[in-house]
Amino acid sequence: MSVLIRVLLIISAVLMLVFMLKRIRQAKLKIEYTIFWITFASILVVMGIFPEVFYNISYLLGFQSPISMVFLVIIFVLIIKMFFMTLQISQLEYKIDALVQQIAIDRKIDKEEKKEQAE
Amino acid sequence: MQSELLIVIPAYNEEENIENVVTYIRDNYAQYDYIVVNDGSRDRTAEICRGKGYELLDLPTNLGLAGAFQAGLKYAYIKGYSYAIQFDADGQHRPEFIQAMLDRMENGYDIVIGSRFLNYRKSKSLRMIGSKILTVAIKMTTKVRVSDPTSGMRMFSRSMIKEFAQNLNYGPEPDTVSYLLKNGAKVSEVQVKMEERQFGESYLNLTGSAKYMIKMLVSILLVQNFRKRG
Repeated sequence: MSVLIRVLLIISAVLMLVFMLKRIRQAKLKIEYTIFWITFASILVVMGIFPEVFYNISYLLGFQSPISMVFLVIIFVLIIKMFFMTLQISQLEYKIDALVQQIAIDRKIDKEEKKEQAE
Repeated sequence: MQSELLIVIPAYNEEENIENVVTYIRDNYAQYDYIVVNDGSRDRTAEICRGKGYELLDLPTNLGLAGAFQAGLKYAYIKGYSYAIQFDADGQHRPEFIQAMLDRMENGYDIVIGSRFLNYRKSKSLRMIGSKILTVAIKMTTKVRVSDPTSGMRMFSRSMIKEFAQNLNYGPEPDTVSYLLKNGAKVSEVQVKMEERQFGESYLNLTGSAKYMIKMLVSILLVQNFRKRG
């Protein structure tokens, strides 16, 4: 890995960390949602500082160059993350639908009951 | 006295049409109960409904047709209605055909669709080609011919109301009809006439229609085969 890529890895990881921690400070992000990004950023930092570890692993696994392994792993991790986020979004939407419907129905039934009592 | 049938009228930004449609039903078809489901409209739809004293389910935010219709069916289920019909707020559907659909329903069907094309041929517009493709797709997967799969005028039985109210992926769309057919639901069609929509724009423009067709075809031909009925 070239020095440029290593520096880029570290900088982007640090930026990611700073951004996440800032959101937590401003109380705009739940801590459990940062765990993934902190882990991810830490791995990028390790990659940038000790690339030898990854050279060895990629050599053992038979990659032509270490950088292709880095790309492959990052893409793979992000795809998995997106997959689970899609599931989460669908579930959230389902919950919102149910809530909104319940609110409207409760209000309607309240109104009907009040009307009945008035009569 | 509560009627057996509930007319569910989902309305999203229908300030120009809602009054004509609902007043007409209330004055001329008082034998049926109705409920307007305001799907978080940003225009005066809810205001008009409250002003006129319409029966109203007022969703605090926009959920889309599936969510709005489901709210109506949840209400129908809680209130114990035997039948519910999906009815457009834009003036396309005509209430005089409800009785015929209700009569058919009483022969023991689960879903009765108000079809424009049971006895009439489809014209050659782009939209009708889409409708034809969906008919073929449903025929391929269920062996049943549904002449007007995109008709928004559908009546549901008590057991269907329960199923629609309690489950995910029960949008009032052709793919749900296809899925239910495949699972042994009895579906019938009654010839109806429909009007052109009176004011405003349908949400189905060209890109919208293309998206809709892709979603429906993927859903009918592929996804529905993997569903498990609760």
